[in-house]
Amino acid sequence: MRKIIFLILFVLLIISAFIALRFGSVGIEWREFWHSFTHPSEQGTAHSIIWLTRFPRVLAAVLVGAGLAAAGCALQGLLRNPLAEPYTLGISGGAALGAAVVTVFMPIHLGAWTTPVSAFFGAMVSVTLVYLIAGRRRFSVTGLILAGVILSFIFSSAVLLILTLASPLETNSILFWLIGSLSGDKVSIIKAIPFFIIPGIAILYLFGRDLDAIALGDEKAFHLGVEAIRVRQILFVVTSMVAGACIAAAGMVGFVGLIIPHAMRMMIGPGHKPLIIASSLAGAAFLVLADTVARTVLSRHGQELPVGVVTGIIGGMFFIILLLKQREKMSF
Amino acid sequence: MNTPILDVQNLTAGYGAKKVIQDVDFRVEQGRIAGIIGPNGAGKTTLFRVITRLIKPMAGEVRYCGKDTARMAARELARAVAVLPQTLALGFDFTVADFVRMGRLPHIGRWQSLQEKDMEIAEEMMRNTEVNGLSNRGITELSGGELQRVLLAQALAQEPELLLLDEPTSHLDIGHQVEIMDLVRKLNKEKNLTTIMVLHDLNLAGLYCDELILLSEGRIFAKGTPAEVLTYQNIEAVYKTVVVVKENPITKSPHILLVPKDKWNR
Repeated sequence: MRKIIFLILFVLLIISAFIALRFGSVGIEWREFWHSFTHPSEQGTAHSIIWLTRFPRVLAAVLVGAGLAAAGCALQGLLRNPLAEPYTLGISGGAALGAAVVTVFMPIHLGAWTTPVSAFFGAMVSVTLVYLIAGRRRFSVTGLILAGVILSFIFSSAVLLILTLASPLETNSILFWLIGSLSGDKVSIIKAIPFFIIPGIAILYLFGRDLDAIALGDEKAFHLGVEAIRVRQILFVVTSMVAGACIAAAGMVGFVGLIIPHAMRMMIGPGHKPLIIASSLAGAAFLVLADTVARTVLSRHGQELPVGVVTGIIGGMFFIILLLKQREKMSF
Repeated sequence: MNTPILDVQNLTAGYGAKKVIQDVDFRVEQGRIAGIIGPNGAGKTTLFRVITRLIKPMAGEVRYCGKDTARMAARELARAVAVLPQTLALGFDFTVADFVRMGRLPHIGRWQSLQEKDMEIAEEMMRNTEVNGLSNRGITELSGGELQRVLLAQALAQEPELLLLDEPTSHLDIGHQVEIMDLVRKLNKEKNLTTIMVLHDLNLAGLYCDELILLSEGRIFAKGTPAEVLTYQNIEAVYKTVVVVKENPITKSPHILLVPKDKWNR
């Protein structure tokens, strides 16, 4: 049963990737589309759009979608909180502040790397602070959540302060990033983020059974041989690296890390090992499709939507339908 | 002389600087059912938490088969000692079958998956506790009695030498109380599974335990067989209430009858 669902999700991901490569602001005929697959070494307009523009972006969407969904899934288990998502523990505020500071005050110039590096750096600063504060409270669930939420709040306020000082152009660029967007040149970033996201997901998978035990409470977990505090320390760092890499690549794409693990839990149950695989596949497919919508909806006007808007609207509606179908029996 | 399965030596423990239990000293031999009893605040839960290693002793030690439990890794301890807690986080709706299989966790490595043998052990324990019919139900849908039996199945799947229970009957009606306690005794006899439990109900303690440890104000007030411990003198001194102790006509175990305060003079 689970294997069939994995297979379906995998096929869905492949189909989504084809759709994403085929459709966009520039129309490509099916004939040209297949030609660029069967003759990958030939040059041409269609070829360069598909392989140099769309492919890196699709790959970024796959990695970010998988990373956010897997990290969200792990954090929901780790904090025993169905409303946890990759940004719950303060990472988003730090990343936003890092990106905003660099956009407005420009202390560093790294070309295409400027925003990703500064966001990642900001994220790691906030993660370190949350780690230190939560450590004082023995990495309890409430300690982590409180530290995360409060730091997010402080950092977000600082971002708002910077926004009031910024020029309209800078404000626009920061806002686009805050909402989450996969636009821009992704060629360089996709050479870096796999090194964070892929091993990260693998580690989360290996800790799947520990997460199952922790879901029963720290004490029961201990009686099953799992030291919850240690696991939380390790996985907090791992999820932060994954989420940090995702934010660096795409800004703060919301909802993927929240709803995908939920939807998958309703389908295959709460066991974390299968759940992390299913969430990664579904998150990847979902973000690839959402980004295709974001690119194409306003393409006639020469504009594109930030993908965060699309994930928010589609994801939110999808989630409400799930909740209504579930009626009283909740899976958390 | 045999090494006792659990050897509690001059244990002092508490929270912060406050000592809740002091100089608690007792041992439990293999195959016995021991009960820890005492009024509220006597230190039963604290003692239980030290034995299950949730809190560290301030002085003294807890030895499992001669080994200091403070020096055992959590996984090593979980392979030998299974614990039924009083409360459980039921945030995620695992199926009963998956929940029981989690008992195999201390036996399987991070890189391994559940083997055929693990599945069989989980199956067997579900039959033992008569929850095999509930396999595909979610744990959040179970009644109190069902949940206790499922928890017991999970604990047994750990294949422990020692089973520790914290008030296993506290939320159950008398029918389900007897059902759970009968089950515990059956497992004790069939698997020679040493069992130690914290109990509130003195009559259940008298019915099912081979030996009792009566705590009062953090110290052991009396220990021995139910007949030795459950005397009206001991109970009146510790619980500060008047009781009459009679013999259960069928089991011959001591049975405690309560007397309201306005009848104490008679």
